[in-house]
Amino acid sequence: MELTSHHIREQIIKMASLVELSLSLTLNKEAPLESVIKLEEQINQFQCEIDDLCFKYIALKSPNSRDLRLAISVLKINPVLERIGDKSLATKRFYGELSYNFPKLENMGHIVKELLQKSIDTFVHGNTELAEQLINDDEEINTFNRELIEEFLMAMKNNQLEHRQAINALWIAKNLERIGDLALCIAQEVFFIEAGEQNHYKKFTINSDKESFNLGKYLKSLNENQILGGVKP
Amino acid sequence: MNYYKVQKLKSHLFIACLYCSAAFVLAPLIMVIVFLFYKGASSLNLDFFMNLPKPVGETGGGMKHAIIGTFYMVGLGSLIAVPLGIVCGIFLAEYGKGKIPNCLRMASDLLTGVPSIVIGIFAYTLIVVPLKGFSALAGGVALSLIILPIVIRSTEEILKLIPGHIREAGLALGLPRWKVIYFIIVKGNLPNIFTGVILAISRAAGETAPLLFTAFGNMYLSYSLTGPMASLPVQIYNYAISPFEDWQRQAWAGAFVLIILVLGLNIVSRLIVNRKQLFNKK
Amino acid sequence: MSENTPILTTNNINIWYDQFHAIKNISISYLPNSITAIIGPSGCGKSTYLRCLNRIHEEVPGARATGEVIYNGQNILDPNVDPVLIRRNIGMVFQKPNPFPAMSIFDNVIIGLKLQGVKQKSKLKEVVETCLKKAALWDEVKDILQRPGTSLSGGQQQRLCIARTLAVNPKIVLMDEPTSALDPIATGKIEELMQDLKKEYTVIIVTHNMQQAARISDYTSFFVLGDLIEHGTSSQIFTNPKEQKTEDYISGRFG
Repeated sequence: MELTSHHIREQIIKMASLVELSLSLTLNKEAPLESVIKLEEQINQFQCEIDDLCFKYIALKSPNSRDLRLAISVLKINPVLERIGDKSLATKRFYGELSYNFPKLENMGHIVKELLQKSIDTFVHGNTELAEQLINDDEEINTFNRELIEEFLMAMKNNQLEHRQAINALWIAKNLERIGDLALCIAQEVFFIEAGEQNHYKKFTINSDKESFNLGKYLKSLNENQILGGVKP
Repeated sequence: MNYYKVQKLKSHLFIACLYCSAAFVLAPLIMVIVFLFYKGASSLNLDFFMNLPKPVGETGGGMKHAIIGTFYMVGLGSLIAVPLGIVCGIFLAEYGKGKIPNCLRMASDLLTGVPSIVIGIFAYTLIVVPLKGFSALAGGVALSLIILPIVIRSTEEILKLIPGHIREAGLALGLPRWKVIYFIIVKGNLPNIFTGVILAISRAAGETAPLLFTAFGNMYLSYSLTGPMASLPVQIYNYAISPFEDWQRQAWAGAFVLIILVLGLNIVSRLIVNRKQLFNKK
Repeated sequence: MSENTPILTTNNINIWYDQFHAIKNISISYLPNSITAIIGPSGCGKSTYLRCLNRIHEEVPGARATGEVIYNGQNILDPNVDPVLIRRNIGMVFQKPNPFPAMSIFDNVIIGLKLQGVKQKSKLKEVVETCLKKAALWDEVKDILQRPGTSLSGGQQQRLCIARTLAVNPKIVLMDEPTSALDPIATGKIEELMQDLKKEYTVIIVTHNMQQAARISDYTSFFVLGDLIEHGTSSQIFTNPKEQKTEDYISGRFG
């Protein structure tokens, strides 16, 4: 086992490409479920190996500065990639149950796939500029997701769509949206590796949130409406 | 006056004391050289180096025989003492623990402390008496006894300064000990060892007492090992106590030459060390 | 010799300095082409142990060792064995860079061979070049081979000493805190160099820098007060030590 930051990078990039492949197989209707399951096994194995690699690398080589940031980032990206693999497999299972074609869902799938590719690209090339742009793609996916939910609800209300099918489709949308979020997490690590900056996007999104959420107010409103078991102070 | 000013004053006072003591040490040396130059340089000419003494009453003549005699006997003494001293020094530095090295060390220390007149008497009884006559050989032996302990101790001290790990590094290359000592330790420090040697020689060059009873001195040029031989210090001594003004003048000149000789050797030894340091720094 | 046959084995080594029992019953085997680090608090005897592996400990008056150091099927602590021959196979690099005084860089490298009687000029030249290359110093000094070895910087001097050790073609190189007198950059270079040395030599290194041991070594021995507390692969010692003492030491709670 070679304990260098270069080797760690190589391994995580290999794992990322497997995850990418898994998502594209999920979105490809012709690909069998088994192929995704097989990939998932490989991805899990990679996760264990990379975890061990990073642990030993940090323990034995006491890396500093960039190498340290890379090792820590990889430790963070590693489970995220594994989650994406899981979600991809779950999505594939729901796709198997789906009997209609939903063009909007497919569209969303492509955008998510692209986002994942771009995120991995930003990681490979350390491109912070590209990472900045990804936030918009994620916004787009979120809107897509919200729209899809509304649409399916309407369709269900009007009895245009079988409920089971609708729920499957909603799960797919939900999973894809989650994959988008996770992909963004990968891109976020670029800021840490390149500039030592943590939580770049969080700062970004909190600032852009116009209506700040007030927990106290929210609880109060709940109490007023006696939703919490009718307990009144 | 505040505390700080008092401290500063004390500091200045202390530094002033240091400079004063330095001046007290330097002053006699400078005065000796200046005085000798003033008294001796006027009588110094080519004749002084090229000619033998003229008979009493005649002015002129030189100390060629004494200068050559000094070189001759100091050379003879060095020839005996330097190789022996260096070998003993190496022995003390490399195998310096145990009874024999300790005896040797004490002996050489005692020898350093023996008054030079006693050394003269010793050489007298050892060589002059059996050979029934003053000789250059006896002078050389007496001078070698002056040189020997200085060479031993300076060689030992210089070799002891070499850290042990250098010896170990040599041994770790799979070399026998004698090769490490000879090729690495001694060869690597020859200039330093020679500095010690030159200082010892310059010390011997100025000695009068050991030569009084041994080489005795004469008024003509001699290269004979078994005959008496003149030397600068003895010649100076003889001329200085003589009633003739011209001889006294020549004694001053001889003293000047002698001090230049000793000083020159000292400077040369210092140059060797400095050149080596310069060389290493590059 | 196969990869898994130890090149050097110590059995029950005990070392005394007069009455002081410095090393107690230590038995370790060393595999060829590996780097083994010896760590431990000051005064734990790690240097003493290392120095007995090529009998250079005999240089300290009053030191004596019992037990066996097996190299090539021979107990090198046996008084009938000539330490001079042992040291040609088991070389040593010291804590302080110590190029030989008044010797050029060239002479420093070949002095071992030269004094062993090799006179052929072309052979000596070749050895100087290969050894300086192995010590990653050739590019820096190839034009100044006639300058004195002491004119180099500390890190370069230490690499020169490594080249000098390699020139007599040892199988095992012992290193006694070779980087403790060097700055971090020079240390880094020497650490890098050790990874290359591993391909041809077996390296045993004493270090008081635990991170260094973790970075460079395949195996690590942990000594305390002359006892071997733990010996194992470095990844095991530094990530999951079996002994509480080791755990405490490498976490900086003791020593």
